[in-house]
Amino acid sequence: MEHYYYLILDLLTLSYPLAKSFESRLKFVRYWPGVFLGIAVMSILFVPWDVWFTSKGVWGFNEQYISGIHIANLPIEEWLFFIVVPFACSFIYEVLNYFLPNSPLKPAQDKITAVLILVSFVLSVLFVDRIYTFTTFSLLCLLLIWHLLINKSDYLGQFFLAFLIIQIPFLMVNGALTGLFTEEPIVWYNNAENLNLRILTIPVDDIGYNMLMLLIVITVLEQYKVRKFSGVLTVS
Amino acid sequence: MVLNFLILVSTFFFMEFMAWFTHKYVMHGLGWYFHRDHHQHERGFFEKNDVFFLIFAIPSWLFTMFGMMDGNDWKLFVGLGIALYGLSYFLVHDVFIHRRFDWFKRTDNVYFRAIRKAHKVHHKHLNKEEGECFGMLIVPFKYFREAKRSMKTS
Repeated sequence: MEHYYYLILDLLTLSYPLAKSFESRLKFVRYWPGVFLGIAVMSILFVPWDVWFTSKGVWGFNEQYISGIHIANLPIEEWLFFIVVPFACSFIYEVLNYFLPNSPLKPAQDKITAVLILVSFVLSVLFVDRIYTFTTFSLLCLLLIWHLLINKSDYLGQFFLAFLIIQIPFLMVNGALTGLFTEEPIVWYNNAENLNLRILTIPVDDIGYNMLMLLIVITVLEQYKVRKFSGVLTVS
Repeated sequence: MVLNFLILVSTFFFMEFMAWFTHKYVMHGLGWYFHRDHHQHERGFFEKNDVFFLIFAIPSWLFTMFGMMDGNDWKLFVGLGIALYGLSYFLVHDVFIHRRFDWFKRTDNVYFRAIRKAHKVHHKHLNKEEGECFGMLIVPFKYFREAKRSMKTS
């Protein structure tokens, strides 16, 4: 049973948004193509990154809590993580778009983005020798600069609000992964390569990692929505 | 000490040349994609053009960092010179001329009138190809003469 903890966590994360995907008001299933396109794009970056960090021992997986099936040196559960977590978070994002279309953060979105750019820049410069911190926050910094200056995205206020809400399930799921409920963590981290700061059991760097991961998926999803509704891309 | 100060001041003036050069040949050339929304305004506080601040910050940051790592040698003062030019450019170009912040409203000085006029002349042109007055802090003498004349008449 213990060997399936990570797998069960993946399935629990998936269950609710999957069950509610066909619900008649939001019809989240409409957004599936955009969400899965976003997951594919994000995975092109995140899967090799994960393989690299696992092989370097920046983080690793506790054999006790995984099924033992590996693909490309990553447990099958970790592959599933990259699908179910963005899927569940995109669901929250679209639920928010449905029930609160005018984000209260929208008027301040450019300022929030500018502050986040500054924070992630400072973190990546100060911790240039900690590879998890540096990689995460330098990439996040570049992506946010692209959004603020080049793309001038107008959905960031909504994204930031969704991201705040996502912190609640994130605390549970990532808490479970980092050993909040088990004797040992399911996923362990080498503290020499991160900020060495934990919220409960979660490394603070994970918040940036999570934001980078979700923002890539949401960016692709938003591009997909624009094309789908303006008819540039015909969807059958 | 004196040498370091000279390095800082000459870097500052060299950056005026770099700004003129990149403005004329990069921003109004290959980099027009980033510079266009500075001439043809779009909604919002930020511009694609602000990317150039970040690009110019890279050499400043690297010179400063490596200078400090090598015991505060000449590189530090090159880095500081670039940063100081960036700050001046921001205050003069973005705040004083383009009024992105509501500061320095009551300045009335020949030099400031002249550089503002020269930059407004640059902005008469909305497109990439034609253009004049690509400098920022150093501008042709005729704008000084004009500024003096208009100050007398007003």
